[in-house]
Amino acid sequence: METIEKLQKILQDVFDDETLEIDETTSADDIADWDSFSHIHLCAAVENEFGIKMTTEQAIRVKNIQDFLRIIAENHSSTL
Amino acid sequence: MTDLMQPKFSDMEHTLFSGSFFRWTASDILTLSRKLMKQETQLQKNHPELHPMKIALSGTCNTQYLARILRPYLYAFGIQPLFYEGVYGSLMNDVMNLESDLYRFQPDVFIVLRQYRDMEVYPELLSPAASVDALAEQEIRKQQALWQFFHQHSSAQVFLTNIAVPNRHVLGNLEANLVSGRNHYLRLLNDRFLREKPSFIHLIDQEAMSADFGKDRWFDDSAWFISKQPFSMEAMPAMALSIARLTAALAGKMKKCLVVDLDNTLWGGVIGDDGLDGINLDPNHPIGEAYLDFQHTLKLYQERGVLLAVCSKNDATIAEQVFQSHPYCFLKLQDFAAFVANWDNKADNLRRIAQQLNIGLDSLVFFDDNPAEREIVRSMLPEVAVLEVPDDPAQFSVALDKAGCFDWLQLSREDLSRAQSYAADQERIRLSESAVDYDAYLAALEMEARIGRVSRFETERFTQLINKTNQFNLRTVRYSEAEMDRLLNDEAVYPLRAVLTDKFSNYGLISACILRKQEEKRLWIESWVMSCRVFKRDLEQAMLNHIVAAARNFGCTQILGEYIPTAKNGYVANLLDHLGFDLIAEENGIRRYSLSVSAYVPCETKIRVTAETT
Repeated sequence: METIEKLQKILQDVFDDETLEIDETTSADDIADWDSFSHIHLCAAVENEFGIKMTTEQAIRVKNIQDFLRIIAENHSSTL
Repeated sequence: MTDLMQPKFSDMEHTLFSGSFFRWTASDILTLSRKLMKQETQLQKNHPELHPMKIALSGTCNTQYLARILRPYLYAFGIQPLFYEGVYGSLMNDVMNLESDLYRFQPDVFIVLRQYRDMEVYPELLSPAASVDALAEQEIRKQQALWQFFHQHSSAQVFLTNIAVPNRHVLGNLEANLVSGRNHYLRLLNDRFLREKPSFIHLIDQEAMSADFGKDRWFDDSAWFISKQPFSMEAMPAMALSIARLTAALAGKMKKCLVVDLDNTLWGGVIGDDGLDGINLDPNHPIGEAYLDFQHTLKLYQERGVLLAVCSKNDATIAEQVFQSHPYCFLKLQDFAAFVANWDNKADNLRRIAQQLNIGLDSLVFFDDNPAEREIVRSMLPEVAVLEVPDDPAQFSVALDKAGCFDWLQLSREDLSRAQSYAADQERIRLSESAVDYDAYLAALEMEARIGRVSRFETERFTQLINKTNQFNLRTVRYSEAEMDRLLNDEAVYPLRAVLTDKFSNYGLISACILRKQEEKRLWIESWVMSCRVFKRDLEQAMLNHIVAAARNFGCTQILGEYIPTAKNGYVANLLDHLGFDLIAEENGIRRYSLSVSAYVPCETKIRVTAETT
C-alpha cells in the first residue's frame, strides 16, 4: 500500500469516518474533527503505523498530509 | 455475559467483552473508544447487567487520553462508567472547593494521577538522613490533610497512583548512594505515604508498573511538553487495565480461585503415561526446576488467600499419587480446596468445582497448558477467566502474576485463613458421610456462635463482607467506608454480626446484618449477608432469634424485610418465607415481608449461641 493510502486509512480510523478521502493537500482546516485532542491521537497512530518517533518540533508543526509524508520519508531515509 | 446474549453480539460487543483489545496500541484503543462512545446508549440498553459507576479522574496533568482509553477497559470488566474529568491543573481547586464540579458529581471512585513533577521541594544535597525524613514527613502531612479533607466531604474511594521514580539521575550512580538524592527522596515519599495511608485510599502501583514496562518507554518528555501527558501514550493501556481491574474489585467483581491442570502444568510429562519416575520435577534439571518454581508460586497464592483447585484429565488415584509420593513434589493434596481428576469435559468439571466451593463461576481463573482445553472453557464458560499460558514453563510464574487476576483492594485475616478452612471442609464432608441424618451432623459439628453488635476492630471485615457477598444477600446494598462510618455512628442503626466456630474451623465474622429502627415501632432489615462457607448451619435462625430480641429492646413490634432479586442471590429468594415472615407486597420481583415480634416463637438450632449486648 502506498504511504498516502495508509495515511488515508489512519485518518478514517482516527476520525471514525470511512468515507474520508485525502490527498497531499488535505489539512487540519479540511477536517472539522481535527482538533488538538485528535491531533495527538493522529500523531500516535502515524508513529505506530510507520514505526517512527516524531520530534517535538515535528509533532507540533505537522498540519497537513504533505507534512506527514515528508516526516515519514525523512525518518525512513535516516534509518535505512 | 449469558449464553443467550452471545449470538446477538455486535463486533463492538465482542471486542469489548472478550477483552481482545487489551494488547492493542493506545491509538487503536482511542479509535475503539471513539466508536464505543457513539454506540454507548445502545450498548447500555443491551446490557442491563453492567454495573454503573461514577468515576472522577484528575491530576496535575492532562487526563483526557487516559479517560478515553480507560472507557473500553471498564466495559470489559462489566462496569458502565459515568466520567467526570478535571480540567488540566484543577486538582487542588476540585478538592479544596466544596462548590466544585467534583463534589457535585458525587463520584464513587476518584482516580488521581500523581507524578514526580508535582514535587516542588527536594532535600538539599548532603542533608543528613534525619532532615530528609523530616522533609518527607512534612510533605506527607500536607498530602494527608488534603485527602482527609476530601474524605470528610465525599464518600468516594480514592485510587491514587504512587510516584514513578523517573529515568532521570542527575547524580548518576550516586543516586543510589546518597539519602539526599532525588530518586531516594521519591522512593521515601512512596514508602511514607503507604505507612500512613487511610483505608479509603488505594494506591495504584505506578512505580512497579513503570519499572516492569521499562522507565525509558514509560516516560515521554515530549508528550509532557506538548500535551501535558504524565507518561507516554504507549503506557496508557497498562495503566488503564490496572485501574479497570481495581474498579471491578470495588464493584465486588473478584476472582477467588485458581484452577490448574496437572500434566505439563504442575510437572513436566504425563503422569498416566510416564509414571512417578518419568515426570519431571527434578530440582537439578532446568525444566523440572521451572515446574517446581511454579508450584512454589502457587503456594504463595494460596497463602495470600487464593483458593487452589485441580481440574485434570487423569485417573484420580494416579494423579493424587504424585502429591503423596513424589519426593520432589512441593504442593500437597491439602493445598487444594478442590481436586477434580476424571475424564469428563473441563467445563463440567469447572462447574463442579464452583459448586463444591460454593463460589460463582465468575470467581474462577483457569490455568491450563493445553490451548484446546482453554478454548473449550472460553467458549462454554465465558464467565471464567482463562489465562494465556506460555509454551515455556519457565515463564508460568510471571505469566500468572502479570495476568493480575487477583488484584484485590484489600486483604483480611479471613482471606489468609480461607485455604485452611477449605481443607477443614473436606473433613466436614467425611463427618457428614458418617452421620445418620443432617441434624446429627449439625450436632456433631459442635458449633458455637457469638452474635451481637459489630466492634470497632471488626468494621473493616464487616464492610468487606457486605460489599462482596452476592449469594446470601437480601438486598445487595453496597456501602463505601464513609457511608459505613456514618451508619455505625447512627443511633437508630444496629449493626449486627455473627462469628462462628465449629469443631474444625474458626470461621471468624461470617454474617452481617444492618438493622434500622423506623417510625411506628418497626425494625427494618436494611441488609443481611452471610458467607457461603456457613450455609445450611441454621445460623440464620439463630440470628433471627437475636434480631427479634433486638427489636424488643428497641421497643419495636414489627420487623420488616425485603428481598431484591439479582442474578446471584436466588439462594435467599425464600429465606424470609422460611423464617416465618409474612409476604406483604410484591412488585417487579421485589418482595416485602413483615414479622410480628409478639407472635414470634424462637427457632431451635444446633448452635450454642453467646448473645452479646445489643
